[in-house]
Amino acid sequence: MIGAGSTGAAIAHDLASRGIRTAVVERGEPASGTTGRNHALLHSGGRYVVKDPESAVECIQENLLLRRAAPGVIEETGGLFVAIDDEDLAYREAFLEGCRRAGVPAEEIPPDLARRLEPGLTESVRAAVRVPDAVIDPYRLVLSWLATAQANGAEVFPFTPVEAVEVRAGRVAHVVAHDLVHRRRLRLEAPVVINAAGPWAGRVAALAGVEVPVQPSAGVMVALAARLNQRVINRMRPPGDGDIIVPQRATSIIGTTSWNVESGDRIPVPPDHVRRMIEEGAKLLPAVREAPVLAAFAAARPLVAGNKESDGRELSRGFQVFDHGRDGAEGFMSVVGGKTTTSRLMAEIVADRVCEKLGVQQECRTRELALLPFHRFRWREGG
Amino acid sequence: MSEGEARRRPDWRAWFAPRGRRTGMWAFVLNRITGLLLLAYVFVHLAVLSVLFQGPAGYDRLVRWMSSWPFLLFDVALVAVLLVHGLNGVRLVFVGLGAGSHRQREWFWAAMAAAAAVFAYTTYLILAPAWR
Amino acid sequence: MAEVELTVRVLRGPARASAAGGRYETYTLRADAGWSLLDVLEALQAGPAPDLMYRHSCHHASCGTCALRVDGRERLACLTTVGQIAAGRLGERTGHGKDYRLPRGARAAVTLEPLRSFPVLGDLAADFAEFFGKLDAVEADLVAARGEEATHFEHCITCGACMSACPIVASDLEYLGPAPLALALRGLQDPTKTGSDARRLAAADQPHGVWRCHHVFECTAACPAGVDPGQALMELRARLVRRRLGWREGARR
Ligand SMILES: Cc1cc2nc3c(=O)[nH]c(=O)nc-3n(C[C@H](O)[C@H](O)[C@H](O)COP(=O)(O)OP(=O)(O)OC[C@H]3O[C@@H](n4cnc5c(N)ncnc54)[C@H](O)[C@@H]3O)c2cc1C
Ligand code: SF4
Ligand code: FES
Repeated sequence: MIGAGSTGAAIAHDLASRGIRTAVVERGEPASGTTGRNHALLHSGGRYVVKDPESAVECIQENLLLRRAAPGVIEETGGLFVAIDDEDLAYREAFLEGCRRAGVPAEEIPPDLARRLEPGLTESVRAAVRVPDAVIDPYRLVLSWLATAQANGAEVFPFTPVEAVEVRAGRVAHVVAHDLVHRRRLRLEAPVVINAAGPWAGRVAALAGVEVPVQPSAGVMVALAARLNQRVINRMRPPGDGDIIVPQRATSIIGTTSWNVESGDRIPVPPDHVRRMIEEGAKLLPAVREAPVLAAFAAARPLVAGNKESDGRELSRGFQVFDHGRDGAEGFMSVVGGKTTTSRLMAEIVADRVCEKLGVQQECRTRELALLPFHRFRWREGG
Repeated sequence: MSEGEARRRPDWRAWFAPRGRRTGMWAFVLNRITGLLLLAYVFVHLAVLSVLFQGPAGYDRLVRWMSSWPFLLFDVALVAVLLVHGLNGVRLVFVGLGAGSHRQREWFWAAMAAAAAVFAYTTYLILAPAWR
Repeated sequence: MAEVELTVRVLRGPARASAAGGRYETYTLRADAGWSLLDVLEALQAGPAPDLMYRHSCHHASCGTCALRVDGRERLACLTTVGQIAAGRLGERTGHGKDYRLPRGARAAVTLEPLRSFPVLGDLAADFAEFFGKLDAVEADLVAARGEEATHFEHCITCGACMSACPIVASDLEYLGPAPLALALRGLQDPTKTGSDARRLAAADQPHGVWRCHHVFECTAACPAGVDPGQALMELRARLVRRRLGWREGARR
């Protein structure tokens, strides 16, 4: 596994739990890429019911599974979708219908009840729907996956950037990584190498001489130094900027925006994006305007650029798996996109593929398996 | 790497390293230092008292010493150390019982203010007779 | 935003048993006043120090990976901004969202060191293995009050700042330390009773548990999340004393 974000960590857990010898190399701290910096929302699927119903179905199923597997890293807050103007209200019908179809439990409640539940909500609430959104601690979720994988025999190497992926005679041969902790070069031989480097997947693929057309798309989030809402608050409208406020610990986090960036490194936080988040957030929770800012930060979604989409490699709407056997690197795969919420499902699909390649017959068990607590994770052997 | 290299060792220098630290640490350091000084004093005290083994002549010498200026100044310093250690100790008893631990900084300054007041008075008591 | 000419002294060095023993490297760079120290470190990584090791994840004071010592004080790198450093306002919890009105051509210098009393994986990256072991000993659960309508993540982000600030953690390797003991109390207070209270109490009620504390209160002063572990320790002591004396605990066990 190259990369220990939610994708890599979930796959490592799945493989290790099937008894497959697994090593994870991560260039920095686990979850130091997109995953740790995301909006921390365990999607109910509500956001996707109209535009992308398949994603919505995946979200609600995975949402329920993850709550059971890792209760220690999930805050069961619940969520609300609220309409605050005529345009939002016009979306209500399609939204409720979409929830019904996708199987997202949605309960419409009177606006005044919504304001009783969330006293911070604007007076102009016109409609409100309860959904089972929740809040994740993405860093600790990744550590839980990795800790469980370690307990099942996987080796995890943080602070170990991959420098080369050797391909010989059309097959991936080994990976060379710089283990900064032990100040040594690691040479990992494996019949299957999986590139889960998120927005850096293009760069890692290039090391193997293959191409993955990733277009990193960044988003800004603003964390306030006050928890203004107890539930996740979503604007009832097609997904747009600044329409979700996630309560996490003592903060409320408003997000996000979306613009293309060069890579996942050194993503700027444009001040006008921060202002926009506060403006949009204040429409839902007026107190946003007065609350002091705790931090403004950004992460990059690993979006796949158009040209490769049509070649049938797409296994799920939300993410893509590239099997580079066709590009002359048998055994090398790239997994790009998706959501932290649906990582377990992505992992199941990828691990099924790996088993097929290795000729191993092992059923996926991650639907039932509970994860170890995050504090069982160890950065190095014997640590 | 072997496991041994990753094991840290007790670092006592941290007890006397107030860089970047705040009131609570200064209070702690002060209490360690005054505590050590008081311990040292007990031995000095015993050594001084041992002149009493020399009988009445020793007793006379002792009284003369004790009313000499250096000794009086020593006494003044001793009172300061005792007050700082003792009153800070009282603060710690209360704070340790969970009473006002979030006000420990204020308690420290209150204890030190009290120490300063009592110190001023006792200094007067000790030095005034010698002045005359 | 104003630019600052920032001189950064970083205590670097390979994996070792404690922060001591590294060497200081000095870098100078032009940094935006709005940058956090994580932006500064990433800029160093992209430039003069490509192998620089430091920990980060959430960038908003939630994951607890980025704590380090800034001029000797434990700080979250993600909340510490260049403007804040240049204005000499390290006492403030966050430098984000503030305009420090820096003069043109402002300069500043800062020293970065890994947390004290932690083994080091390399450079600024502390190894949390031992610390996590102590969290394990008290069955630390960061989600409180499960089952109620709104549950909360515990405010403690297990950043280790309190462990680094405490002189007793430095001198007694087995001392559980502020955060684990605060989380032990949190576990005891959790109305849904996940985890073993007996194990938490046993861990707290031993020489290297609450009784080792010497009331320095640097933990509380260093905590970036307002947890007040010092107070938690005192409460835990009071609880244990009552238990030893056989006093009843009210409704709680
Ligand atoms: C702004 C924003 C908000 C989001 N909000 C949510 C949300 O609320 N809920 C949700 O479910 N999803 C959300 N997502 C989506 C989700 O965060 C991502 O889809 C997911 O984190 C991607 O995980 P990943 O593991 O594929 O990538 P990453 O987390 O980026 O992991 C890739 C890893 O690879 C490592 N790496 C890179 N190069 C190398 C190398 N050469 N050698 C070794 N390792 C390397 C990186 O350090 C990194 O840790 C959000 C995304 C964005 C951008
Ligand atoms: S108590 Fe505060 S300083 Fe200590 S680990 Fe928790 S958040 Fe960090
Ligand atoms: S990066 Fe998560 S606390 Fe600073």
